[in-house]
Formats: sequence, C-alpha cells, structure tokens
Amino acid sequence: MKSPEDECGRVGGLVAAVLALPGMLRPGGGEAGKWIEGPTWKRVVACLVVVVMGAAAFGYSLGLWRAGLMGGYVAVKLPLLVLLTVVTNGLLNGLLAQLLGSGFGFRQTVQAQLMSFALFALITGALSPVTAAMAWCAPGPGEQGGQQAYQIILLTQTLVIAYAGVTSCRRFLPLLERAAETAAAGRRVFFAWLAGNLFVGAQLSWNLRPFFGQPGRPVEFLRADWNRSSFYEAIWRNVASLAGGVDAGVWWALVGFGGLVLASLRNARVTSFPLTETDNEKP
Amino acid sequence: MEPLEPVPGPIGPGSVVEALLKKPGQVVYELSAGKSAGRVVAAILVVALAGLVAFGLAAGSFSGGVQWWAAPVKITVGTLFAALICLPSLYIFVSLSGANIRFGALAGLLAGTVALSALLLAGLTPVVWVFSQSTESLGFMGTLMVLAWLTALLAGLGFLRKGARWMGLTRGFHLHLWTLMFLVVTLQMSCALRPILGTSVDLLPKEKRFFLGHWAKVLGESAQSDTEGGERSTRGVE
Repeated sequence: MKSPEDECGRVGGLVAAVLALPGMLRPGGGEAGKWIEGPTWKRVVACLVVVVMGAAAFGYSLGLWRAGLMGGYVAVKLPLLVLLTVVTNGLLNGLLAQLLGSGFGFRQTVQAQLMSFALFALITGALSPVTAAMAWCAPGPGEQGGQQAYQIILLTQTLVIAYAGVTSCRRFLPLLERAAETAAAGRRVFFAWLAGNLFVGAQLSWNLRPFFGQPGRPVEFLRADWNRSSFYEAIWRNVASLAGGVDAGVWWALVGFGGLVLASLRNARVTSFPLTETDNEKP
Repeated sequence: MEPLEPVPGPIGPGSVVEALLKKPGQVVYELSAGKSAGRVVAAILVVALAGLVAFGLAAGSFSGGVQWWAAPVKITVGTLFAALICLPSLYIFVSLSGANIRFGALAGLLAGTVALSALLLAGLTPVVWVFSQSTESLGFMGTLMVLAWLTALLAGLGFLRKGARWMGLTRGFHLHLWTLMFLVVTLQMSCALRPILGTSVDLLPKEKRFFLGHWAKVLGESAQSDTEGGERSTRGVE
C-alpha cells in the first residue's frame, strides 16, 4: 500500500514526511502508529533530517558559550552521537524487540528508534535559538562572572536535555504500546531500548567529549585521551575518591539497600508514564 | 467559550484593537481559518509597534537625550527578537499540549500576544511618564518598568492561552513552561540591550551579564546613591 508521502513525488514526499513529525508530539501521536507499522525510506530519511538538523542546532548552542569554533564542533558531534548510538545498538535493539514479543522487525525497530530520537531533536532544536541567545548574552570564559555563567549555562542545558528526554519518552511510550502486539510487550521493549541506549550513549558521549567546553581547557574536537577510559570507570573513580574514608560496611549496606529497591520495583506497577484512556483499553 | 467568528467590517488597526480587547475569538478565527490573515497580521504588527514605541518613549523620558530614540528602538527590537527566537519552541510546546495549529497561525497568535501586551503597555505609558518626571531613583523606575512589563505581558499571554485552547490545547503544562521561558528571555533582553532607563557612554553594553545579577548590582548602587542624595544615573549607572 502506498504511503501518503509517496503520492507527492520524491522531494515533496520527503518534505511532507518531515512536516508530519511535529504532529507526533501531540498526545494522540498523529501519524506515528502508521510510521512504525509501515516504515518507508522517505520516513527514515525524514527522521534522519530532523535528527541531524535539530541536534546540530542544539549542539551549536551547547558549545557556543566556550567559543564559536566549539559550537561548530558540537554541531557535528551531537548528531554523530545520536546516529552512532542508533547504529551501535541497532542489532541488539532489533533482537530485543523480537525477543520481548513486540512483533517489530528490524526495519520497524530502526524506524521507531529514529522517530524517538527525532522527537528529542525536535524539542531541543526548537529550544536552540533561546539557548544560543543565552550563551551569547552570558559573560564569556575569563570575563567577570564567567565562572557563574558557566554553571548557569551548564545547569540550563542539562535541564533542557532532561526535559526533552523525559517529554519525548513520555510521548513515545504510548506510541510503542499501541504499535506493539500487546501494550505490555511495547512497554518491555521501550524500557529495554531505553536502558541499552542510555548505557551505550553515555559511553559514546564520553568518547566524543568535550560538549560544553570547560573554561581554561583548549577548544578541541576530541580530547587527546578520548579512547583511554570509559564513562563508567570515571564515575567509579569519582565515587571512590568522594567516599575514600567510608567504611566497607557502609558500601555493603548501600548495595543491599539498592538490591531491595530493585526487588520492590520489579513487583511495582509502572505508573510514572500515564497512558491515555484509549491506551488503557488495550489488553 | 466565545464563538469563533470573522472580524466584522474592514480590517485595520482599529478593528483589530477592538477585537483583541473585546472578542479575541475574532482574531483567532481570522488567523486560523479567515481569508484576511495577512491583513490581520499587518494590523497586529502596527498595533504592537505603536504600543512598544509609546512605552519606550516613556522609558526614554526618564533620562532624555539619546534615550529619547534609543529606548523605544531597544524595547521594540528586543521584544520582537525575543518573540522570534521563542517561536520555534512555542510551536513544539503547543503541539505537546495537544493543540493542532499551523506554524503561520501560531506566529500570528504570538504577534497578537505581543500586540495585546503592547496595548496595555501603551495604557500604562502615562503612569510611567508621571513617575519618570517625579523621581530620580533608577532603582524605583526600574522596578516600576519591570512590574508594568510583567503585568502587560502576562495579560497578553492570556490571549495566547485562549487561542491555543480554541485550537485544541488540552494540557497546559508545556505552555506554562514556555510562558516562563518567554518572560525570562524578554527580561534578559532588557539586560542585553542596556541601558534602557539610565545613561551610558556606550549605546550597547560591553560587559555581558545575566539580568538577575545586573539588577542586583543596579538596585544596590541605586539604593546607595539614594541614601547619599546622588544625582540621576549620569554617573555611568546603566
């Protein structure tokens, strides 16, 4: 069956597909269900276009405070981070989707993954004029108030990323639940993808650092030691240095407490992502 | 809710002002489904420019001199620039709130919001002018201007909320978040384009600051100057 974009010619269809993406942010999800069920090249390319444009615009505003060149570097690196995450986890996510009973094939998995990142890129890209203006108005590195500006910008950008991440996830979960064979399978696949993408994405972002660009450090595309440590080693080192004087018994108590929390979460119903009325009707 | 209907009679700044104040549904109708959207937007922009310039003149009258023209230009350009950079996020945020609005219609709604705010600012202009001629305290005038600005903008944003609700908005959270962001952006513009009230050797600042830090500095200096019986802002206070 022909998709609506196929009736508009090659370029027109692509433009129509790109313009359909913001509609998926609405509570109903717009055309999202049809897109996941019937992926086409135009829909995949439309998602890629939005991911690259949105992430590049936001990436530029991320690095802009440090220097214009840094903004340019991050405008390249942020879309690269998203695409590398999709590619690295592509096979695993496709397998998990089938294993967890969603009924999605590999093409549908790629389409769904790209759609979720496109929603994220739409939100961050739309906010990028504001974040860029903020970076432009703030005292620069080395100027009076520069250190305070660095902290404010870091906090604001983190809040923007968190808001975009949470919002796009909240929009995407019901879509996946509707498109999957059962709502429960859709939910399982969503959290499996989320965990995998967070795990790999954190490491890739560590490899591709710097993004904000610390004042006092040189502007560079990649750090010289970009491939000499992992994100998780760095976290471990930081935690170990922070808790250097803490007794071993406290560590074991923390591990035990964490285990209890995980066990209780396993039995708890997931209520943090409210479904719409129609979603609740699904078996 | 008021029914959506076209603006009666010929469309111009006068009819748009009346519609914005009394029947905002008419403006929303023209922007979303009417045949005269272009003329409505043009009239809205005329109203917005007139209101902002009037308010800017009142602000400029505090210091006089260069500020007679610099303050209206800065207030007008700053407000329109703030609206322009916040427009893409507004489109995304109203979509997240459930509204189904074309980008063009939404741009018109935002222009209407600025116009209604500008109208209220124009209404406050005589009040601001009276105070600008009565006091020499930069801190007091700055506080008064910010209060007037927030009052007018929040009232103007009511039009945006109504318009978005007419176009299907169901959840207000994201729009409230955007409103907060827009307020912060406009306030930061007032700092980025300073001085607007006081005077300075330079037309635009050389030192970049966040508005909260700037206000704390100006209010502190103004309070000190008030207790010392200092002269109005000619000492380089921005």
